[in-house]
This record gives sequence, C-alpha cells and structure tokens, in this order.
Amino acid sequence: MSNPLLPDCPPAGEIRYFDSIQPPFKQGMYKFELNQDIELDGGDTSVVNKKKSYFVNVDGDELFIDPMCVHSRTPAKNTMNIPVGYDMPKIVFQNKTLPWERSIKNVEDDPELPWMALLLLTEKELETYSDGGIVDTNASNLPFYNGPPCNVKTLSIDETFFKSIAPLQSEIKFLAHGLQVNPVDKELCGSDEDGLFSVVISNRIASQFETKYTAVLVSIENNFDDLPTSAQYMTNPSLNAPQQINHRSIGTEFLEIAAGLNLTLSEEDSSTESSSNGVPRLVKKQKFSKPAMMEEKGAAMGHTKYIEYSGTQNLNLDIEIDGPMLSYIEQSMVGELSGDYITLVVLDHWKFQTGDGGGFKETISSLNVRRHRSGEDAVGALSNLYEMAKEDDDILYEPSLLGNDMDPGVTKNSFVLTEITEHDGSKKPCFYRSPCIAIPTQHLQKDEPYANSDDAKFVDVDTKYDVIHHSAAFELGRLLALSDPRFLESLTQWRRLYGKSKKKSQVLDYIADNETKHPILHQALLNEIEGLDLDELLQRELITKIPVLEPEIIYEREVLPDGTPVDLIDLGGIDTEIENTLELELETFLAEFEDQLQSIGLTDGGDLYRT
Amino acid sequence: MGVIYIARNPQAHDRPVLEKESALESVLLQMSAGEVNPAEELAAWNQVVGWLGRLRKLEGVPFRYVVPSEHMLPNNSIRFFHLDRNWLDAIVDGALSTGVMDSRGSLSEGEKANRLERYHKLMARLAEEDKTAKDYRYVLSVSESVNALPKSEKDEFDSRLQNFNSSLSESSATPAKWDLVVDYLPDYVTTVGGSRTGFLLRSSVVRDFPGLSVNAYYQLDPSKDAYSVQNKILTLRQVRLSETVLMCIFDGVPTHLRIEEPREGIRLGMEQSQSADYNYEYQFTPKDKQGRPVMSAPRINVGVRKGTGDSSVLRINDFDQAKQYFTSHGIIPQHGAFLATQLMEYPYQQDFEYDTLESKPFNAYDPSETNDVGSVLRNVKVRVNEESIVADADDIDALEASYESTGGDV
Repeated sequence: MSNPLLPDCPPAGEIRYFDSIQPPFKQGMYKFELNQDIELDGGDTSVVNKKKSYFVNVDGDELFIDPMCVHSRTPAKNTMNIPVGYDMPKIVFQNKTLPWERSIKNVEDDPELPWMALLLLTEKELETYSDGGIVDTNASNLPFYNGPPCNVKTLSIDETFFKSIAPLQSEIKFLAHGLQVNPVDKELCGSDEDGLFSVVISNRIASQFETKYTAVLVSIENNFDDLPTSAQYMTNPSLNAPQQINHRSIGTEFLEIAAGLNLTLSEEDSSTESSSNGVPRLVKKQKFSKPAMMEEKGAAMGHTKYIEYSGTQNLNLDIEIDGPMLSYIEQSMVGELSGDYITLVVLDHWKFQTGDGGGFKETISSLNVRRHRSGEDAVGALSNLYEMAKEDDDILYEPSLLGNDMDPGVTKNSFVLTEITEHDGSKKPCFYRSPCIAIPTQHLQKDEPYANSDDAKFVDVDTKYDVIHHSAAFELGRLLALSDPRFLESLTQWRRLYGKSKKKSQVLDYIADNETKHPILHQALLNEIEGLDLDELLQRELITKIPVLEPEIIYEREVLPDGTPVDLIDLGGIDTEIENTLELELETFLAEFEDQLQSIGLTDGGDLYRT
Repeated sequence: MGVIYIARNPQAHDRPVLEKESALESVLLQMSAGEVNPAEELAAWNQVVGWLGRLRKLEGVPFRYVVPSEHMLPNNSIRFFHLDRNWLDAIVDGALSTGVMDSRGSLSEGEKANRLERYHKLMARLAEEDKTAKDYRYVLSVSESVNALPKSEKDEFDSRLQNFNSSLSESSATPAKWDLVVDYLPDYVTTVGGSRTGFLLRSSVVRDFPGLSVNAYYQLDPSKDAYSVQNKILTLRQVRLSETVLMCIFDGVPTHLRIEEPREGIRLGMEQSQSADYNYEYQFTPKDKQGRPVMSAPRINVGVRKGTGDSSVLRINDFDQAKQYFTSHGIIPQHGAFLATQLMEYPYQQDFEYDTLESKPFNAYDPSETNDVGSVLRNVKVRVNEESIVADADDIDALEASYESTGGDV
C-alpha cells in the first residue's frame, strides 16, 4: 500500500540499524535506450523503427555537502567541557544515503563503502601537522578535479601523521551506518517522516582532558589509497617510550620511564598500588572517597589532579591522572614528520573542548530552579537541581512553573505589569498574561465573540488597572490573520459559502412550509433538489397555462446549425393571436414566479447570498 | 441548461421567445448561483479550521507574547505551564474579526442568531480540532497505541485493516479506516476540549542535541510503571522556538515527563578494559540482536593504535575479530550496523514528576461573593477580571518596582 494508515516506523524507543542505505541511483553514467517499433501494413518499417540512446550522469557533489543535511554533530559544535570518555565522535545526516552516494575511485565497486571519513585532531596536532590548517583552496588546483572553478575547503596534512590517525582501509565500512527511529516524540515529526538518518563515526575518541579538538569530515573518494592498510604510527626513538604510557601502564612501568627521562615524582602527590586485577596504577588516594561509585559508573568521576614535570630534553610533559580511568602523556612536539603532505577535501568540520561536564546528562540535570528561604520575600535566587538535592529543608523551591511570584515582576497567577498606550498617546499601567500560565484557569465559553480589542479589555477591581491579556490576544490574532492572505481568502470564502448554504436551506424550509401558497416555486425547488431538468418543468408549466394547446403540442429535439441541441415546442402553426396569448401567459407566469421568489428574498440584485 | 425555443413552425426557430437573459432564466441562474458546491465549502472550512487550530497551538504567536518577562524563563531552565483556553478563544476572535468590513462599511453578517450559530459551530470544531487534527504525529501516536493493544485486539485490528486495504481504494478507505481507529482507541477521538499543558525548555541541550525525545505520561498510581505506552499523553505540538528553546504542548495534564537523548545521536562507546593483556585498552559487552547486553558473555576487547601519544585511535578491526562470538550466537556479522549495535549506549533519560495535581483554578468565580467595586464596574458594563491579581498594596509596589528596574522589559 502506498500510503498506509500506520506508517512503517520502528516502535518509539527502538532503533533500526543498517550497514548502508543505498541511493536509488549510484553515482555514474547511465544509458537510456529508446526503441520505437511501429508495424505498418505492408510498409517499410525501417523508416519508422528507431533506436536512440541518451546518457545521464548521476553525480552528487564531490567537494561539498549541503550544510542543511547535517542533523547533528557529536560532540556538539563549539561546546565546552565535553566529558572525557570513551564515546566516538560522529556526524549524523538527515540525508539517509549521503555516505554511499559516491563511489571511491580506483577501488573495486563496493556499495557499502562510504566516500567520507571523520578524522579527529587536537588543536596542537592541527597546528603542527597540517599546512595551515583548514584553508580555502581553488578547486582547480586539486589534481583529480576537472569541474568548473570554485573554492573548496581542504586540509593538507603530514602523511605520517595522517596514517597514524586515519582509519585503515579495511575499517572504513565499519565507520558508517544508517539508522531509523520513530519520529513521534521529536520536533522533526512532520518534516522528517521516515526517521531515517545516516551516520559517519570517527575511529578516534577524545581522550585528553581540557583539550581542544577539531573533527574533520573529509572525502576519501580520491584518497582511499592514502589510508593505511595496517596500523602505522610515527616513530621517534627518543620519545617512543613515553608514547606508550597510558593508564594501563602507569605504575612500575611509568616509574621506569619517568626515571629514564629524569622525571621525579613527589611521594606526597602520588603513590602506586595494584588494582583488583593486579594491574599497577598510580592514584592519589584521597581522590576516591567513593570507590564503589567509581566502579559502578565506569566514568571519570574522581576529580582531576595535574602534576607538572620537566624532562631532560626540555620537553614540557603534562601528566594527567584521572583516577584509574584516564591518563596520558601529551607532547607538544612528537614524532618525525615525513615532509609529504596529503591534501584532503574537507566536507565539514567543527571544534569542541573536553572537560568535566557539558554532556547531555550534565547539562539537563543542572537545570535552574528558583529558590529562597522560607519567610523571606518570594523572589529568590537561581539555583540548580544539584543544590536542590543537598540543601536544607528551610529552602523553598519553585515547582518549575512558568511565571509565578517566585519570578521578579510576576504575580502568583502569571500576570506581569506593563503599560498600554491609549488612543491619545497617554500611557497607563496594565496587567498582561501570556497563554502559558502557572495555574490552570477555568474555560469560560463566551456566548459571542469579542467585537473588538476594547471589548476584550478587563479591569482589575483591586488596582483599577486594565487587564489586557484578552485584548492583546485579540489584536494579535487580527494581525496574524491579516498577514496571511490565504487565510483571509479562505475565511471570506467560507463565510460566503456558509451564508449561501444557510440561506438556501432557509428558503427550502420556507417553501416546504408554504407549498399551497407557492406551488410553482415548490415544484421548481423540489426539482432542483432532485436534479430534474428545469426546462422540462417550465414547459409543463406552459402547457398548464395554455391548456387549449396541449393536444397539439409535439415535442421534438433538433440541432441548431452550430450543433447546439434544442428542445422545440412545435406549436403547429398557431396564429399570431395564439402566439401573443402564449407570450402574455408566459410573462404573467414569469412575473408571478419572480414575485414569489422576491417575497422570500431570492432576487436581491446579485448580492443575494453575501454575508 | 439548454435554451428553450418556442417556434412558429419547425423551420422557424430564429426568434427565441425565452432566452438566457430573460427574467425566468435570470431567476434560474440565480438559483444556480445559489447552489453551494459542497467540496468548495468543505475546502474553505478545512482551511479556516486548520489555520485557527494551529493558532490555538500558538503557531505564529511571537515569543514575547508567550514569555513576556525574561525572568520567567532564565537560561538553562525548564518551566511547565497550563494553556489558558480563554486567551486562545480571544486570539481566535481577533482572527475572525477580519474581513467583515470593506470600503462601503460593515458587510452584512446576516442575522445575529445566524452569526452566533456560525461562531459556536466553529469554536466547537476548533475544540475538536485540538484533539483530532490528523497530523503525522497523531498518526504515529495511534500506531504506537495500536501496537500496545493486547495481542487478540491487535490481531483483530490488523485483520480488519487488511480487509479495508484489500477491498477499498486508498481515498475511499481513509475515513473508514479512522472509524476503525475510533473503535479500538476511543480516547483518541471522543475526548475534546479539556486541559492543555506543556513546558518550555531553555537549554543548550536543545541546540546541541537536536531531535530530543519528549514523552508525557499520566499515571497517579505510584505502584505502577508510569512510563509505559498505555499511559502516554498525546503530544499536540513539539517545536524548537529558537536555537535553545523547545516548546511542547500536551493534551491533558501529565504526571510524568521523560526527556531523552535523541536516539539517532545515541552515544557509541566503550568502557575501560579489565583485561590483563595490555594490548587492549577498551572493552564492551556483547549485545544480542535486540541490542540488549549479554552479561554472561565474555567482554570483547578493543585495542588502540600507537603513535599519537594517547589511547585514542581505536583498532576498529578488533570488532571484526570478535565476530566469531556473534556468529556462534546467531548474529550475522555486518559492518557499520554491527559496530553501532555493539557500541550503542542507552540514552540518558531525565524524568520529571509531579508531587501533586491539586490546583484550583484562579478564576473559579463565585458569584455569591460580593465586591463593591466589582459591582459598580459591572453596572457600567465594564468587563471585570475575576481573578485576584494582587493580594495587597505591597504586591503592586513590588511589581511596579520590578517593572521600572527592568526598564519595562515585559
């Protein structure tokens, strides 16, 4: 069924994953062959039987993606304090087929191979290993491009570094997928009806604390061969050892490495111990007042300690110890640069910074509420849900209602004081309240609509101030309606048609009730209702008006020279006197007919049904 | 209508006695012009009702009319509200006040009784429209509720729906299909009017996590699971008013509200490896076909590539190596979908619950209460606001002081 009553979406709360969602046409040249076969009786068919081919090139944008097709970026663009963790950055497209719309060059056609990859670089890496970062480039300078001139964003990056962070060729297919969700509980509902998205994820996670990252979505259509085929990493003999330090090796290994670099650890700042599984780790014991919680949450819950060291090679090494979860050594300059650069087309990029908050959980659970101590003035200070949980009972919190007397300048039932400008330009105070209020109101159905905005104005008996919320709503509704010609047209049309409909039903009712008074009208309108031919009715009426002629009338149907069918009443060669009599009778009939219609207001000069 | 000729004889039909312009024809044409095309009237009616229905859900209403003071919705806050249906009636009155005047003055609206009849018909339809506007969200909600029906009813529903589909064309079947919904889900169509509530969320999560899932529920019994499909309340509108402000309007007064991370943006991640093998930095718990963690299964380890000085570049192929486990458990290993299924983390859910639902409307006016000033005002035909806005003089002083301090920012 093309338009099912119940759409084919997964149930709300569920997700359908797809390895890929293929576009209707894959990129490439398509050939349409048109054949015309006509059979002629005994004729030469070679003249009319033709074959023609057309070529159509299906080709998505090679150098750009439409920014509007980006649904979301994770972590979000320009966000701060993204929790350091183990989540993979990704970009979600509303265009469900985008990652598979182009084919990678020089690779055996694989429909599931995406033509883009998401790289993740720290700010320092971007500065150090790229040639000027993300820059605008004339597309004509790209070796593979032969389209019209345009500017494109590119990233030229050191080949060795690129190979150390880029996904392997064999990993690319893992890093894109499609998914479908039920849009019923989203604001997208109605604009994105299928709930289908495509996703490209990064093979690298943001693991460094308080570090600026740049996620870069690049096209690999022309750079697939540049992707590593096996794990490669930069080599720098003097720095190989510290590069291997991570949270799993802090402990005795770390101490050995630190000793090799002439680093000294302060005993009061750190200690080593063995975890439950025997892995040595470096911890500052007082950090973990709730070890059970750490274990349960599996996230960096302990507060962070920074220890600064300096090494023999004048390297500034920052060691972060974040409980047993994360630690690393970051080097401001590391590795040997290859000197060769790979230029990648940048399709999208965004920045974010890691920290100790700023994720969904942290943000939404820190929503502000207003609080004040009991006995004090109603208006209090802003606080958040965390504080609400730990403070004493003397603190009162607003129940998160929109507009009550815990907000400055707002009454308990959501009125605010404002000013109204009168016709003469004078201003006077008044109360206004939005349609969204803290306390429910009783719906009072009016007998008739407000005639104008002044009619919708109230007065407060206590202050004598005007209360203008209905008045303002009236004016607003009027202005919004006037700004929409289509609505006005529909409203006018509906009024007119409704008036017609109403009037006609009144006429019919009237005539039905007065059948004996207006027999012709009654019959005519009955016929109209029943869809009978009015011509026939009138002819019958004429017959009744001229009974003497009845036996001689012969009905015929003829066609005028222009082809119009006409009904003829053959009067059989009646003389002028009879004809005049007939016309007189007809006029009398018409006058009576019209009089009867006028008596019920049906002939009002064309303005009959206007309301 | 054809033309009637009365001819002197069959050969002479050049003098029509009765032509189109004749009096009778004119009358008949008027009769014809008075004919109402039902489809045309219905189209205009639907357009008017649809437009006003959207207006009653505050579509097009400027934000300052909804939140007149910035203090009412501070940054990083959520505020719940009731919709004032009297206010909504007033805005409809304003919209309907257009087009009744032209350069000649007031157009005839017909008799007052007819005018009021038309007004009440429209308002009654709008009250119904609030509930039954069959937009896409409504259709999906019905679908969700049908799926939550007991199996026997669900099967019967599917069977009847299939019969509709096979026996009728789409256009003719649609009304009958909705009758089918009426039979099984009477709550979706029979309750009109009633309370409307909602909330405004002003937070960076609206901007950073587009596609937030919002669901409202009604369940007063704390012993029961409130967050089930059966307890869901219909969302009438969910819209992002600005980059960081989200508005939702519900059909009823929910007791529970759940805001979830968008599922299309669901986090894909791992946990720290507990393996004694130092080659692996991370691990994840295998998930079955339905995405549920198989806690009894061994954790799958994932290593990192050296070279960046941190533990950040994942060895994605380690997932491929783990396929053996999944194959043996009936899961067909794939690529992107496989990885996403295995790494997806449950979305964070923020719940809000009411302590009590008791609240008396402020304007529950008791006519037995006398108010001298009010009586005087009523006698001079001034509309009196029946709600007490300020309790005493101090309140109005505080309001005035606040108004002046904010420079009239309302």
